[in-house]
Amino acid sequence: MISIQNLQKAYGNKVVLDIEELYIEKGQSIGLVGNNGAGKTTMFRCILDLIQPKSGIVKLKDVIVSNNEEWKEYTGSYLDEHFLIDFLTPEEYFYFIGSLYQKSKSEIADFLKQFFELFNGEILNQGKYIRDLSKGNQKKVGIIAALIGDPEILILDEPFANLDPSTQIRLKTFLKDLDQNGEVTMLISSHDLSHVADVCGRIVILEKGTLVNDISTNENTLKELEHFFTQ
Amino acid sequence: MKFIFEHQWKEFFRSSVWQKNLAINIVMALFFVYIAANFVFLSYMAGDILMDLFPGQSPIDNFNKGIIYYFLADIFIRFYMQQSPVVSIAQYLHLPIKKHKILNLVLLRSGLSIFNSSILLLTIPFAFGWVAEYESTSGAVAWLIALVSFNLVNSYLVIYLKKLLMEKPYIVAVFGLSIVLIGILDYYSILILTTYSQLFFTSIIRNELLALIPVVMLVLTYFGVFKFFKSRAYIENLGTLKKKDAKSTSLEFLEPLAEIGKLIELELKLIWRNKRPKSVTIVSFVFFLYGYMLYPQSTNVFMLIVAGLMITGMFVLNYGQFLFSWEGSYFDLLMARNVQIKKYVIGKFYLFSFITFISFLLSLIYIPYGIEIIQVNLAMALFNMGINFWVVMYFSTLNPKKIDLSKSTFFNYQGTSYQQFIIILPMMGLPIFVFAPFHVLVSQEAGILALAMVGIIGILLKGPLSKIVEQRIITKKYQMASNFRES
Repeated sequence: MISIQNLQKAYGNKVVLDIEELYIEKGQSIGLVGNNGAGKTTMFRCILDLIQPKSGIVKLKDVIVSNNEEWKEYTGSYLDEHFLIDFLTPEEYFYFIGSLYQKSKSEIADFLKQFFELFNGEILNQGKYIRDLSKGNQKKVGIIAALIGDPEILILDEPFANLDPSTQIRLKTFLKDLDQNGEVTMLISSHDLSHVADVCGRIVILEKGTLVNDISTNENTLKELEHFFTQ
Repeated sequence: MKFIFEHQWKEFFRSSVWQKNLAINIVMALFFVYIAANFVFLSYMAGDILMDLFPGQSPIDNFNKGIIYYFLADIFIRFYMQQSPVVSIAQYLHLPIKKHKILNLVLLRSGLSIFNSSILLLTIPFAFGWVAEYESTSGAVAWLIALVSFNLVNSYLVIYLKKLLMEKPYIVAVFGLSIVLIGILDYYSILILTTYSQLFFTSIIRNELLALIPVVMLVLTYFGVFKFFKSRAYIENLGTLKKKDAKSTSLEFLEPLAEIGKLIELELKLIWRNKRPKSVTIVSFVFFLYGYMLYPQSTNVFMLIVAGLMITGMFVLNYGQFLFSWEGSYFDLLMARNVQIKKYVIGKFYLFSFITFISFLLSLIYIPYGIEIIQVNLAMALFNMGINFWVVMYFSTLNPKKIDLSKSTFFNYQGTSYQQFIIILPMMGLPIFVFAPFHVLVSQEAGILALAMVGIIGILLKGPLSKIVEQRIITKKYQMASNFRES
């Protein structure tokens, strides 16, 4: 589903990302962990063709991302607030994203019903533009919008950061369910080791731009991760 | 306490606009020097000008008559342009500094702003060239003190009014209306403001102690404002905008255009809901009145073409020069989610063509100035749709900068770079380039026809042309996105 080969990104002389190979099968869920500056967001931006790598290629479904725009049809993503349109209300924003995937308003309204609990009464019908929502609520809007259009590939950067505890737990449950179905290939980065160990079946550790570890999750994974980051 | 001045100084000079754009800073500095020189010159010449305009009358009396209008206009201009200085105390509130100390500093500092210095430029040359010469030096000094005091009264009054606008808007409305009412009464000579103005300021020159009146007014205003803000020096009160109730809306008539319609709707909301694009759009339509200045005087066909370009293309020019910058805050979304760049380009084409068409319809009010004007404007509208739009689209991809949508337009040149000049040159040059050969070799009508035809060809070729722009966006998108991500 996703393949990365010899991907390199550098700013000036500083190499920020250098991944020899990474293959992700359909339905896998990958947790990407690493300290600040490890290259997580850079890797996501390369996958979404938002930055141009110095060398190497990213393929989604065996097509190089920079070659055409088709991958956009089956990819949902939320990296940061640059994915939000802050002068829209959350509803308008969801409908707009929906329209990009040929979803009617009523389809989107139906889709949103499953998230009422997650929204906790703070998102819909609040008479607020997205710019007036709190950071956490903005993030909720972004994440839910990433799910619009039944994506086959879902890319979320730090989805748990800034969320309140209840929402973190609800989101985790939701993502786990999504993973169980096996339809969606997920790529999630997080600083919260227990969350990724919980949600993702495979964990990739980045350090200073390089891939240093690639493990299948089992009951000892969290310990391993904690050990790795205490060194 | 001097750190506050230091911070404000740093805030100003370290703002990203200042740091990155030396050339524009120089242009703006020259512009300010030019304006300042104009003020000084105007003040220096004011006596002679007034002598010419009203022979046999005292120019000092006439100058004093006009002062009241200056101060009334000053209030309105300040209301739109002056930023509240009080907002900047927010970052010091949690620190162990006495509140009244910071507030005093910030308010005093705002009195020293560049805005307030313009009154000195406008009056000192006149004060010493005329008032001191024909009345007395002490009179001139008293007169200056009075004017500066009134100027500062205005400055503090506006700080107060702008804050009051958020709490009790009706009081501000009443205040504004009463000024307008006074203006109307004056216009119909029921209340003759100039008489009072002249009486007051001339008395000050003759009897210097009267200058104490405005000084006392200034002190009272200052302490009034100080007291008002002292009780409001909490972060929650310092916000500049009251959050309005946001309503979700959708423009049903764009429904048939499907995705393209949604993109157009998004852009319309962008314009309507954000301060800077909104004021740019309004200014574009104000430029529309340019015709009233130009048409009565000039029948030179080249001038008509420039006027046609401005009147039908002001939006394309004014809004279009920052085309991608407006959407900078969500450019990543446009590139990473399922927005087809082709539809994105076509959506813009429809929107700009529609607004150009509306501008042309509005320009029909100039029919009384001759049918030729309408012909030129029609040709230029087509040219703007078919050629200039694509020029703007193509060159806007050239290194666009991030823009903060919530800031005011006035003296705001964030996002401005050499790119704007590159866009404006072909927009102005191309029409002349098409028109001139036909005009010289065949006839004026042929030149106008050529402009229209070239425009129509551009419209008909929208498929291939949009393909070029699309390719351009695809190759430039990495640089654009990284510019917009810079904070």
